[in-house]
Amino acid sequence: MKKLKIKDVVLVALLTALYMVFYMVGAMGSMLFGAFGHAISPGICAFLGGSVILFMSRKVGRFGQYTIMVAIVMLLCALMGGGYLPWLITSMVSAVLADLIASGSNRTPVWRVAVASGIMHVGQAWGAIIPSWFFLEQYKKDWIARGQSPKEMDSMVKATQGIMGGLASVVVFLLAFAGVWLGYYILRKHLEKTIGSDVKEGQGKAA
Amino acid sequence: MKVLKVNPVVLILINMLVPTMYIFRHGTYLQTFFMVFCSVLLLVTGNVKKLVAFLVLYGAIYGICFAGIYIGLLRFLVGFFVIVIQFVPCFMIASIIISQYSSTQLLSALEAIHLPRTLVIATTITLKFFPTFRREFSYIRESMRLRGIAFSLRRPVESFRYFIAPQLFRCAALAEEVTAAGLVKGIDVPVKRTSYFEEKFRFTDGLVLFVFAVGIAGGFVWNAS
Amino acid sequence: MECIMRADHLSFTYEDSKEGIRDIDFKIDEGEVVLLTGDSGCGKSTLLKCLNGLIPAVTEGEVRGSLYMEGSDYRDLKMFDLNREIGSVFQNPRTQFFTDQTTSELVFPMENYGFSKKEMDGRVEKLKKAFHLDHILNRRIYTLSSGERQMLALACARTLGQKVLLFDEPSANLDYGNAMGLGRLIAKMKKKGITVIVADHRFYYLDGIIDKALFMKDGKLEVFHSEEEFKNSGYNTRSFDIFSIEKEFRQKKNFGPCLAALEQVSYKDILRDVSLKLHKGEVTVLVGSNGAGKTTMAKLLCQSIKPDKGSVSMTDLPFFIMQDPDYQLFGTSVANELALVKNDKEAIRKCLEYLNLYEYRHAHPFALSGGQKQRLQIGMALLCDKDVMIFDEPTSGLDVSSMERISGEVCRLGEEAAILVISHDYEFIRNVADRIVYLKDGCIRENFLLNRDTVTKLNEIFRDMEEGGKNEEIEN
Repeated sequence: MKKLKIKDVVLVALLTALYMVFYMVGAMGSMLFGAFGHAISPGICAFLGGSVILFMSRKVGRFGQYTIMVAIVMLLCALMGGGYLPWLITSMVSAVLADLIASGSNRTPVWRVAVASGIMHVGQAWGAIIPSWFFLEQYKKDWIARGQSPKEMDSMVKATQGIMGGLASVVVFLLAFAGVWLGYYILRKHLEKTIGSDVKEGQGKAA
Repeated sequence: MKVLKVNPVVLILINMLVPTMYIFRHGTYLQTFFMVFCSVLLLVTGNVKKLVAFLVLYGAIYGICFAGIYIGLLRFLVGFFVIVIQFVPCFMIASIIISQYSSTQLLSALEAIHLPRTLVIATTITLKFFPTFRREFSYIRESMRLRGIAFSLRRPVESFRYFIAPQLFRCAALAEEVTAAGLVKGIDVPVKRTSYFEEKFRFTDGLVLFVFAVGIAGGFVWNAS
Repeated sequence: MECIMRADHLSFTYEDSKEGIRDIDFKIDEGEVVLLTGDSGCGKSTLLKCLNGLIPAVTEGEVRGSLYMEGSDYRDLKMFDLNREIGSVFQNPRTQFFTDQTTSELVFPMENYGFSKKEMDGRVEKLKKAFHLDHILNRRIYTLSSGERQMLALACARTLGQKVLLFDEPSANLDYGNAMGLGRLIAKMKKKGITVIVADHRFYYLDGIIDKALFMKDGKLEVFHSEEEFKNSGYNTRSFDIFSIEKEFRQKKNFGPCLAALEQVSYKDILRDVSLKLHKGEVTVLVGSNGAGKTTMAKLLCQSIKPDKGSVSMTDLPFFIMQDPDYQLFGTSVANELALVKNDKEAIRKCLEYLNLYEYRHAHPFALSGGQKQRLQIGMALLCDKDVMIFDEPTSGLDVSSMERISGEVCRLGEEAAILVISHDYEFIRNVADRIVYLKDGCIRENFLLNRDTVTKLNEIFRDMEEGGKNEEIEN
């Protein structure tokens, strides 16, 4: 496995800056859809930023690229006061998984990059999903204490948890998957034109 | 009144712990404690106006949640607000962090917890270029308009391509220059990085953490009883 | 004087091309100001990269021969050893800084080298005095003027107490006033015994302070041991005194109808009651220091912004050639880029042949060199069929021969269209201008046809801009 060089880390950092722009767009855009939107906001970001992910897999293509990218995002969120431990953990674990799946070379098949992006973003989505489970559980008690029937509350909480957990994960995965293919479609012609010089560069590095 | 400056590492730590604690202990006690704790922090750090704004926000969200108990229609909306309300204390601390420190200073302050050098350097770059790229998207839109390839919703994919491709390729071109700029400034020196903005851990920081810990411990006692 | 740097039969060949440098020998003594010059592609940036260690650290290839820094072989020195002694000033305003805040930027190298807080405080105090940084520290970098940015970049290159300073094409992103200011700063450094090496193809701002000139051609080096010797060498050194250039004046008399006009336009506190008319067949050059409002005028003509007062009248949007071509390239190949302008295969072929870009027609626009990208932009202008065109600093970073080419192309476009050029490149202005408009503090101070009688006015404008640069230094 090829190790990341300083230049690769710099490129990942630059691409992450670009990715963060979409991250913000995703966060803003999802507000319109309430709680569910909040849970799928990583998916919106992944859909728009899929081209960034694909580009990175073609220009860097080394183990650690996804991990560093997500680590930067997490660190920045922590700096802005948005760090949240379970989220950090699910995000980082899924980023390492993404690296294991799709960081072998800069010619990893598109579908593998798409799967990697899907897993990476589902990991991030759980940052919103996990607390929703616990928080609702807590409020159930509150509601019941105020005279609602436990049965009605149970069904409401179950429904919300189902939507927030299962459905949101599926939606995020699909959006991320589609985002990478969109990126491939958009960049295909561009990359054909420049990949030749990259291969040369890659061989140079190996030598 | 003398304004208290709290070590950013302490604030970031508290903010990571607050929502996490809800998993282990839930209930009115914890939420009340966090609200009081964060309100006092805002007060002693001289953010009175922000405090008022947050209290109003908290009240409003609480009102919606409360109404949701009686009005069936609101109930599905409530799910979201129930989550938001528990993050209000985090927003309060985040606002202290943002108002007192620039992100570069924060990053530098975080050296105290021994982050890997590569991550610090990489995040520095991201921090610098994030606002740059945001600004540059508007240049690209302007340039598209002048070249007559305007962003149009009728051909969304095509438009998106014109929008994103130049930025991606520019990243690749910039990478070499940024690496050069970094290397001549010693990003590869194999010694431990120091920090110009590192904040000393003061007595008051210890006090803040102590009160926080006691409050959480209190939560466990409360629940046990 | 002690020898600080020495090259002994130094050669370098790039991994993926035949270009490189061959058999370089030179000696640089402590405290000298050395000019490294030659046309684009001659190898001067390769040599500069060898000097600051980026070759072989980042750029790979084959190095032969040796380089010595104060007697020790570069091979025995690590990149970070080298950069404690050598400070580098890069010129791309987007990449030369690593952080977004001035103080962070200044201390960044010291943090990397593990300085203690006390040491850093001491250094920052010293640098603050030496470079008049009081008004610069604790600010966001993007709010700095280009003069302030230059000052910060210089201070950053000296934070570790480096004895040698390397400059990479400083004139590319500085206006005339600031470039002259940099010349004065370099003279000051020289007095302090700091060795300065400047790689640039324009060197008017170094007149009178050069101790040695290294002239590169096709990867080979010729050394001149004094400024006199370099000036007498028969090479094109006329850009030492830009005002002495002998050039024909265009002296066109008949211009077509007015195609675009600004009338009594004001915008925020940037422009006040500005009027300008662009005529068919006329090349108007807009000069002025950075921040005088030149770009704002261009934006008004492009209808990107609306004036607060006055009117903008024109029939169609102008074609705007941006200073940084990277914002303007959208195509998947060079040919495709032009097809986006006008989908006419025959016209595109002719255009590419004319610009010597035909062999690159399948290349990705971003794979081109800086000069080729600029030519591609000119190609778009040639094909666009618009009758008003605006060029923003089309010659920044170009060597003399590329500048001459662009001049020819702008003149050719100027026969059919109304052209506005924003530029601070004196030679280029003399090549293309029919009319000079001088913008200062948001007002038009001069507006005249350029000819033998009015050229002194142009020279005065340049001296006025230099004075402006000096005032900025004093204010700082």
